[in-house]
Amino acid sequence: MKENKPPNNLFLNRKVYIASIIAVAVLFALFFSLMSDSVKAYLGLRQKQEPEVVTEISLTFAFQNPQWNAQIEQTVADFEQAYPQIRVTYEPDYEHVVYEDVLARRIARNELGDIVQLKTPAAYVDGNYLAPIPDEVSKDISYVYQDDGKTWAVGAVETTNGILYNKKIFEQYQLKEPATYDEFLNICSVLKENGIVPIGVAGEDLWHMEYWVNHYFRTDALSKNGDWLNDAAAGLVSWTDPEVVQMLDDMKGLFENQYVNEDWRAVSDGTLPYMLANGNVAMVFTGPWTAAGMQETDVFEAGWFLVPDREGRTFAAKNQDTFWALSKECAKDEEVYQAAVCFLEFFYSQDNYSRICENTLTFPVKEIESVTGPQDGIRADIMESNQNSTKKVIDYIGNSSCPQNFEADMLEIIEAYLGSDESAEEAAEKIQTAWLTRMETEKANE
Amino acid sequence: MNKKRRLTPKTTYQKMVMGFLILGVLPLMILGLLYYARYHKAVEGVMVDNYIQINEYFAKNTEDTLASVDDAIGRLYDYSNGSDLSFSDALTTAEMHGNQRKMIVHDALRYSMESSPYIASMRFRDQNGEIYSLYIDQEKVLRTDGENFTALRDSSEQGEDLRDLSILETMPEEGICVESDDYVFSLSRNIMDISDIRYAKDRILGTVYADVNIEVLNEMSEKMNVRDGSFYIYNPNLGHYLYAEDEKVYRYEADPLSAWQKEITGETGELRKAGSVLLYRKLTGTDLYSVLLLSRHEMMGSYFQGRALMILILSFVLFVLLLLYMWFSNRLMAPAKQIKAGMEEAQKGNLKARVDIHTADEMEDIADGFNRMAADLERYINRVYVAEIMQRDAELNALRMQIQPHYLYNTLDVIRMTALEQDDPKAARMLESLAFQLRYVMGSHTDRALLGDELKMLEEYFVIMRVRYEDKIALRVDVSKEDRQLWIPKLILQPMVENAIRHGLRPKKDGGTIEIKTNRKDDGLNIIVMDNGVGIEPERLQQVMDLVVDEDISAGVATGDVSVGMKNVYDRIRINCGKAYGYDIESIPGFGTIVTYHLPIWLEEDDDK
Repeated sequence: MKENKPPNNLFLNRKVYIASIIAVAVLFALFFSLMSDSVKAYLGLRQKQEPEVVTEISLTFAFQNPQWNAQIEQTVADFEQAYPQIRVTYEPDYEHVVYEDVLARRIARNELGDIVQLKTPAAYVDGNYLAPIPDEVSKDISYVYQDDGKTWAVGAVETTNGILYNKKIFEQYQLKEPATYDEFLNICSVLKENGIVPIGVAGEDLWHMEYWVNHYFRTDALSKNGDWLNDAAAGLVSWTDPEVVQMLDDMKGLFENQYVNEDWRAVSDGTLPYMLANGNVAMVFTGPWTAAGMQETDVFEAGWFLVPDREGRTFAAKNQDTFWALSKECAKDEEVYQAAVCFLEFFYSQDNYSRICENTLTFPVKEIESVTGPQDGIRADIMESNQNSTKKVIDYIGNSSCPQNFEADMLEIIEAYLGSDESAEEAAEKIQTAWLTRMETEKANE
Repeated sequence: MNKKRRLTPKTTYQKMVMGFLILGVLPLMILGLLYYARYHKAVEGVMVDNYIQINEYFAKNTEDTLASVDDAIGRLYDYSNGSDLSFSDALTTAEMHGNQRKMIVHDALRYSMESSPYIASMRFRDQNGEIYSLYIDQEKVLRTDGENFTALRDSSEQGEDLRDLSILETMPEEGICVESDDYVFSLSRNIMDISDIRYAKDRILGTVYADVNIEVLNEMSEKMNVRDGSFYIYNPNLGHYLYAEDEKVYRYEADPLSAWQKEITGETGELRKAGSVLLYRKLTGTDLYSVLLLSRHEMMGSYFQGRALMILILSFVLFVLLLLYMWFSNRLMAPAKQIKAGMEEAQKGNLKARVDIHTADEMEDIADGFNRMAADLERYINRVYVAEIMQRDAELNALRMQIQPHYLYNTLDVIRMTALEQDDPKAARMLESLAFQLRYVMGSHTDRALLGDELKMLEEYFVIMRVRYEDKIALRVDVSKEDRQLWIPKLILQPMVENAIRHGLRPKKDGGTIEIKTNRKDDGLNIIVMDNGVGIEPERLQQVMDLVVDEDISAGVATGDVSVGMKNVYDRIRINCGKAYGYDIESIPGFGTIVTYHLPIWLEEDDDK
């Protein structure tokens, strides 16, 4: 019996052949996947983390009001997005410290930074802390600080001060914007009788007092003598002169008649907008930016007027005290300097600058397409009152005509005076003493 | 059957082991090696990255500590006492009384120190050479000869601004004050007169030193919990240490980073030298670097240990697995071997082969199947053989019963008469013979017959045979009268004689003779049937005898190796007479064959019944 077997060897061989091909193929695939992974991984494995090349510039600005802050922050964010290789650092809040003190401290520790906001650049130029600003930045700006043929600081915005009031309350009591100072006092009286606090004052922030002080100073002193401060420096006029006493008297009048919130010493400038919006106070002496942050509600509508003098004249503040400057440190490193210049150019660029002006209700210092926005109503009011004013006054207490630290001294004296039984003359004396002391110190230092 | 020598595994067991090794163990080992090779490099990379992170953390913490102290120093500008007098006022007001000035300065220093938890003491030297100091630890007092450590920093090196922060290297505090075995480093700033902003950068009120106990950094370093390396805070420009784990460094008795000094540059980096790895990161705003020095051996040490242990464990486990596997496979295959052996046995013809397996699995089922099959086969064959015998018996019976014997005898007689009438004595004689044989076979139904009768029958048988074989064969009977009177089992001689004629004489051309003799021996009767035929080959004879003698009734019958007759005769003798009796055959090929019957002596018909 012969069995019909298939050719044994051949058949087995083929099976083994196929199986071994598959096995080898699988092993190779596995091997190569491993190795290729390994190669790739090895190459990328310990790639040193190369630090990104980023230029850092630091920005120092005055925490004046929430609107200005927000605009600076927005500018920085937009700038960093447009220029990812530049990073801008800034300190957000100095609490209630006077900005000049902040700058002084930084200078003492050589930490002035790269871009600095200044109110009175003169002293800083004299102290040799600044680097000149290139012409391409400064050329179209309406106010700049120049010395020795170079531009050391460029105006950022122009602003003004005035009364921000609640139109709805005025309507309620059939009050109109005052044409004279007496009308103004009348308004205060009516409001007081009706249980509304006429004026909100934030005494906790010393610099808030500037508004009223400068108003009366403009109205009572500078209106008559535009050069009053220089004259005072020259000793031609004194703080004990009648116009100053008048100014102090008028100011105290508001407080004595209780036209001011009782807790004015403890209220901070940042709280005033809320008090206005809630209808707790009717009027606040402030800058237009405060209106920028406030929306019309059932109980509030923004209105603006300048407090007139007894003759019905108004003296608008033309505040040109917001400068940008570059520090000497900044100019030491070419890359940092270029980055800082780039930032300034970005600041004044059409989109960015118009947004700033619109949201802070400030006046542009360079030609840009007309600024419009939701604040058109109040903006118109502000511009109108400015244009209709009798005189636009640039000077203010604390400008370069005054000795250093005098303004702080004066504000402190006035704050004390407003809350005490002191007479205007007494206060005036103190102010004069402070003036002289500071003048002396300044001279002695030179 | 050709058995080739094969190199491939012969048994299932071997195949399984080979499969396990090739498809299981080997790929695993290869993969393991590949992965190990790949990850070895990666592991070191990961460990170094880990340490880089730790160093980052240490650097950051140090930066924070230094910033905290520097900020505290700055607070001197913020200070004003109850009467609104500032730190500056105290130092610039000439009319102020020395004691009052001292009080204000100390108060200002305290105000400053309070704002940072790291400052252990502050020292201030003004323009007049006056030194003020404040220590948290009351027992520490500035040494009177320690003035050189509290110096006025009013002259600057090239490029250095007098307003900048200066960080002094760590030194033993005993140089500065008494009662101290601490080590301190100092942060120093000039306090400027900022009353006139224009001259703020030039007018120095004095130099202030804030001392920090190195314990601050020690604690930080300990918290990092790095056992394989050491931390340093190091200034490579000056070769100064702000922090080192070994205090000898502060006393200039050791300089562990000197070999690396020139290479520590840039913001961050990684250096390698002879078994050490150095990681460094610059502290922002300073010339200091946070440095972590690692020993590769220690760093990877625990990893190497772990790896060795892992390899050991893996090898051991693999070895044990292999042993277990082999033992298990073996056990699995044992039943298969048993079954294989049983089948080989059955193949040889031994249907009694059985396989004894109790593994309670398929193997047991196969074994049971095999056993049943063998048993069935055995029974079947027995049945067939028995059936055949029975059939023959039946046929015989049928023949006996169904054929009317008288009719047969009468007919035969008639034919004999006719043959005689026709003058055919040969035919007549053959008929006579046939009638006799028939009578004998179908006669008395006993299983015994007289030897004489049996012989007579054979002679009659031979009458016909002689005719068939043309007188070539002859029968000679040489048996005594007494022996002829003995009883023997019926029909035991005839098959052998038949065989002798067919296998022995017929092949011979000239025929032959069959001779029958008897003799008595040892109480037994021997009947010898001889022939001078061709004989039987010894192997064939042996084979036949083995099968005949085999107790298994069916042995050999199924394959036709042995005729039913031969086996039947043998079995009948054994069954009727006893196991001691039977017959045996001797033969010389070419010469003849002798069949010798061994029978008992039965004098009567019913002997031994």
